[in-house]
Amino acid sequence: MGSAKRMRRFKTKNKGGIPSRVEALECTPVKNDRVEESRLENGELQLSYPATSRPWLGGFFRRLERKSKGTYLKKLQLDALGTEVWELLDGGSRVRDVIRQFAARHRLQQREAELAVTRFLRELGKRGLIGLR
Amino acid sequence: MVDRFKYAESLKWRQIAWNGVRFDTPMDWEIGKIGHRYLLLETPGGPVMEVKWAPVKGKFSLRTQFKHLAAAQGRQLRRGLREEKLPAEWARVIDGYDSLGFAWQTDSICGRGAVLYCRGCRKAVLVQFFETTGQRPFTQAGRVLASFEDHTEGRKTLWSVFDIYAEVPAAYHLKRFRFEAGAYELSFTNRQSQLTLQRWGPAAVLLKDGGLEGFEQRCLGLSAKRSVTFKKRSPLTVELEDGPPSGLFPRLYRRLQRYPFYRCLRLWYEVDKNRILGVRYEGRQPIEAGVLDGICKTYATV
Repeated sequence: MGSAKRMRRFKTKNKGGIPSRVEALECTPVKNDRVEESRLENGELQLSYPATSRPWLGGFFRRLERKSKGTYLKKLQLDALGTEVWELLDGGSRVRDVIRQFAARHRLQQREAELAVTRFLRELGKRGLIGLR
Repeated sequence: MVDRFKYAESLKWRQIAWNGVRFDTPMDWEIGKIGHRYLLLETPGGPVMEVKWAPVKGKFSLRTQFKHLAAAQGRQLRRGLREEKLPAEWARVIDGYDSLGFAWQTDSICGRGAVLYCRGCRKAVLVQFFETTGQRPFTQAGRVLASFEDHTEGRKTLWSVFDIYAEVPAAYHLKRFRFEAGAYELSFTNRQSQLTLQRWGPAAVLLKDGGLEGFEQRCLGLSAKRSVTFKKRSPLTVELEDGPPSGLFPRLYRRLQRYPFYRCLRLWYEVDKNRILGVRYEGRQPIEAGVLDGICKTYATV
């Protein structure tokens, strides 16, 4: 019994459904419906999306202004490459397809394009602007 | 067997050259990890080849190295690791080296490799190939090993990784490197001076505002110094130079700061590859005539 407990203690942590590289490339990125796009003069996109303030920050605002600021509108300005990748997300293309198109357009190596696109998609995912299907 | 041979022949090959070691690999083997004296090659299916090398000081024993290698593995792998005679094809192509073959196996993957030692350049190399279901690197291993070289011939060292190719004077040793999406950098030193090869992409986007001059001002900022002279060598090439200050006190001050007196940067735009390439020199002495031209002539993206 004691040894079984010890064994459990040394058991590696379950990585909890983190997809492998191959699985992640097969996913389809889908845009959040609540994101609004506006095009700037230089052709780049500005994304506006609702964000929820952190509880401690919300409490601070409540004390300061005596009213709740549950959600607020956040803005994210994309650069030229970010705009291009965002426009490639049509809800049907897989991550792998987006990378292939991006690499072909800029004559990049597949691996380099993969690094750039996946880093950008991860950032969008963290902000809740896209989800993976 | 014939099918396997046909499969190996149908693949396109390219050369990888890194820090004194070079060999040919199939086009679909990509560099997954890179270190000063380490390369891991992989395909979408997983790792296929690993190479490590190091200069040897003093005595070297292949069997001791193999024991060290075995000791560094986990218990499961250590049990499956065994000394094994090299396949005939491998033994034929690496007969210039002292060699010791080994093999190992786990549930999902098996590996076969060799510890090599070159008496000429006193370099030890560990090379191994991994085989999983759907991947057959063992069929190409013979050709990879046949092309393997660990000597720097002549006065230049060849560098060919990812999409860059360069020949650098052998006196310059690799100091640091950086391979990030859109920006690659290789820095070399020969103690007196530093040489840096840079590569940026995609160029069309980076050069949209102000061309090469604008890019240099935004990203490198060398031209911000008043003493820098700016030369436009051609519509697609610019060069910046900075020499020692003219006054005695500024010179002394710079010497105390251990600041390089001579700096030179050449940037050019490879239109067909959509890349910007740059070679930077920094040193206390001006760069020898023709050295910068020689490096820039061979430095290219493939």
